[in-house]
Amino acid sequence: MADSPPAGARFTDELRFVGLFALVYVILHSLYFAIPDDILRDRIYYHGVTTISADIINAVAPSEKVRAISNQIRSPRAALEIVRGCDGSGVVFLLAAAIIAFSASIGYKLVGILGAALLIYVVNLARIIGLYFVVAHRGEWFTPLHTYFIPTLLIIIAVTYFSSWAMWPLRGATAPANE
Amino acid sequence: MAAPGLPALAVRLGLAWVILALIGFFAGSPLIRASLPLTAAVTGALLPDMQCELTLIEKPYTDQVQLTATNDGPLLLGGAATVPAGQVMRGTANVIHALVPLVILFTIVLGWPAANLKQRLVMILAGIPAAALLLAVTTPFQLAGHVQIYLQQLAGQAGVARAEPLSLTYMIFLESGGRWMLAVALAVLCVGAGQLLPAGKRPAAADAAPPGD
Repeated sequence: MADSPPAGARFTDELRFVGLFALVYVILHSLYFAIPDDILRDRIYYHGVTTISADIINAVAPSEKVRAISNQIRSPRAALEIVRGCDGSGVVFLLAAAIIAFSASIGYKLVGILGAALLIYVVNLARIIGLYFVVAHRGEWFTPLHTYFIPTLLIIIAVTYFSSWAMWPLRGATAPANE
Repeated sequence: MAAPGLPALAVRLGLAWVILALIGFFAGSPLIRASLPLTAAVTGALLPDMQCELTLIEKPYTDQVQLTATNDGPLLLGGAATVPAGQVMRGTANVIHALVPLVILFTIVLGWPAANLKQRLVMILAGIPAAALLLAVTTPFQLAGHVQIYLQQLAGQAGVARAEPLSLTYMIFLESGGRWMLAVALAVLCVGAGQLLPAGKRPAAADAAPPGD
């Protein structure tokens, strides 16, 4: 504890972190909303989300006979539409903002942001595929899962990822007596 | 922020999330009901030309907060288009949706390591006003936002351009993930408030993770 900064200084650091975190998040959100709907719908979501999700669903459960149509995953049983915000961008922005606000080298931050984008992309694909099966087979579970359980779990996954990124350089160093 | 032991942190966050998410899902309505006066006050401030009434409606899986807003006098939409006095407009918010920021806030507050029980207590106590603040800056904007969307649609049907109200812009920000950001930011401040206390010696029965794991 001898080399720990005073509590007041730590709290000032946290205020600075929170301020920068919020500012970067708002900037990323604004940039995201500058992307036209049709580019998201017909290019990014079609090539990056619905086609891949449909391929995976058909590979896992061929009887679903799923098709990707623009930003929709359609089958005889269900239709799931990917709209702005359903692409995991909010969680990626949270992580990117936290990483940018954290004190680290630019290279390490870039690695953290790339890892975050990859992790959330994969987790979000799993979310969308899972939600397709929910809509197709347990429609009444959709609202609780979509609006409550999955978003909160995603944030906890993001917090865990950020913590592992932030503590990685400390591995092998003497652990602090108090966290 | 100090770096915690990752495995212990992941387990603790996961456990806190499971417990809080289940409590919120099965027993969140009384909390939201108790917060209705606060929600109504902020909603009323956002829609000053309307009479606002909030009710909690029972629904399968999740109850809903319903806003019934009635305009006192004619509302000018732009050009010659107006909404006549007495028009009833509604907005809804699922209880579980309203609880999302609170679950995030308290999962972090309960799951993040504390050096001792006093620090943990301060984090939790700081979480209470933070939760009230979160409720005040999220749900009312969602409810009022639905009314503003309705007014935007009326303006569109009348062929007039109505500037997007700031409260609607903010509602879209919240619904696109802004509410998560607010919850995480306030959670970091709650954790920081707890860490203002001296860490001292870790008691044997403290709930903090062993260092270095």
